[in-house]
Amino acid sequence: MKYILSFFLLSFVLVSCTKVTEVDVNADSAISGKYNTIKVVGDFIYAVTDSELVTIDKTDNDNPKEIDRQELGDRIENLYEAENVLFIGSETDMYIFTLASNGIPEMQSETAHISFSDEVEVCDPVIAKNDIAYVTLSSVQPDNSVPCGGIIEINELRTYNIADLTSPKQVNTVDLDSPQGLSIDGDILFVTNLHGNTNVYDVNHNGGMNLVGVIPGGAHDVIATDGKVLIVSKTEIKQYDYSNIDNIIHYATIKL
Amino acid sequence: MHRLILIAFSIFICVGLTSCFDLPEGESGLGMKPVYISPDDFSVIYTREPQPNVDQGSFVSDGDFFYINERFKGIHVYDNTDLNNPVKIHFWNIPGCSEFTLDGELLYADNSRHLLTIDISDKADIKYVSHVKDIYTGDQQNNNFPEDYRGIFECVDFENGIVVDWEEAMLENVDCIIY
Repeated sequence: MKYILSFFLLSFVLVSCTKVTEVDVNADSAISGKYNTIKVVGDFIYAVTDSELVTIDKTDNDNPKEIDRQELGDRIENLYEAENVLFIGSETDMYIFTLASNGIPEMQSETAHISFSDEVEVCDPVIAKNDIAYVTLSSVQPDNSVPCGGIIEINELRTYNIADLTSPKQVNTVDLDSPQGLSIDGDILFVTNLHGNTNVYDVNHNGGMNLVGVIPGGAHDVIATDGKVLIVSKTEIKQYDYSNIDNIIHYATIKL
Repeated sequence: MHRLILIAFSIFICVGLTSCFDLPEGESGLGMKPVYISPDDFSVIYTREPQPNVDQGSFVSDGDFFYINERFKGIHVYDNTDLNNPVKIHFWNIPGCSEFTLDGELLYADNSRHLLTIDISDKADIKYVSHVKDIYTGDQQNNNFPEDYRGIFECVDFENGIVVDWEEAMLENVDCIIY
């Protein structure tokens, strides 16, 4: 019975918050939803494990090699890349890395979600564009209503000014129901809520967000690209066209 | 005779020690046990006919296609050329897979232990190319307890390989349980 407690704790942690969010703004590459933790940048593959950032040199695809492994805090959830900058969300922190010419990540900053308490452990995907990082913090986890861990409940969308990568400044906060996935295409930001709707924002480059649309239904992941958006829940995938943001058109709903 | 005494003495010592250490008794009964495969067997990677969506994970969109991970099983491939009617066309069988990304004609995916490079230039016939060993060694990347389950189960021993499934079985003296 010695494993009972550890497995109970482990299952809580695993069930609660191993999910991730990101979107890639590189037009040539695949766009990932929020669960992804592997990124290709040039000749290198970056992968986050539960607690580490690993760099792989894939110059020779027949013989790729691990060239670097850096220990970060526990419970890493998400890896996002924009313009050669890596953003990593964990349950407690947002990490920002730049990439040296040899591919090795160099940490610029580590920003705790809450400065006055270690008790916050939330699902916290992060994406970034135009010097603004978008972070959803949610105490609601995808499979049921068990909190994502921690004592303080938080459900919000935050923006950080990251013009200085070594010192992100929080500039805006929007309270949401149960924010999960997020995806940005141009100035249009989609944020899904697990138990609410998908909010559509027109964002400016100062961290401001204007709600310009609501797509009904709970979902945990979203990918927006080139005027079309895929919204995923456990039971279905919905597809919309938002090339005219004033008239979002529903294309298809696929039952899973 | 000496041998008999030795055996008797050994038994006595074993019983004595066991009670001294107060080793817990494992539980027995109907429960779940892990189904292992070797992380080094890459012949299990291939394209097969579409499979049902049961436990979806990561999600990637790439041009006219999108891809959804079936946790610890592989990847569903959807043809999204007709936005009104996306069609599930293949299943990429990659046991242990829960993380992936695409880069042109290559797929990078985990198998719970290694990071694999897979040639997907022909979606209908994917091919293993190479792997980087032991990228994932933490607990997070492994299917180390049965999901949506309450009860006893056989603890995962990573020495036995990667866990690709869980099956019901009569268990004896297992030390793991989910309340």
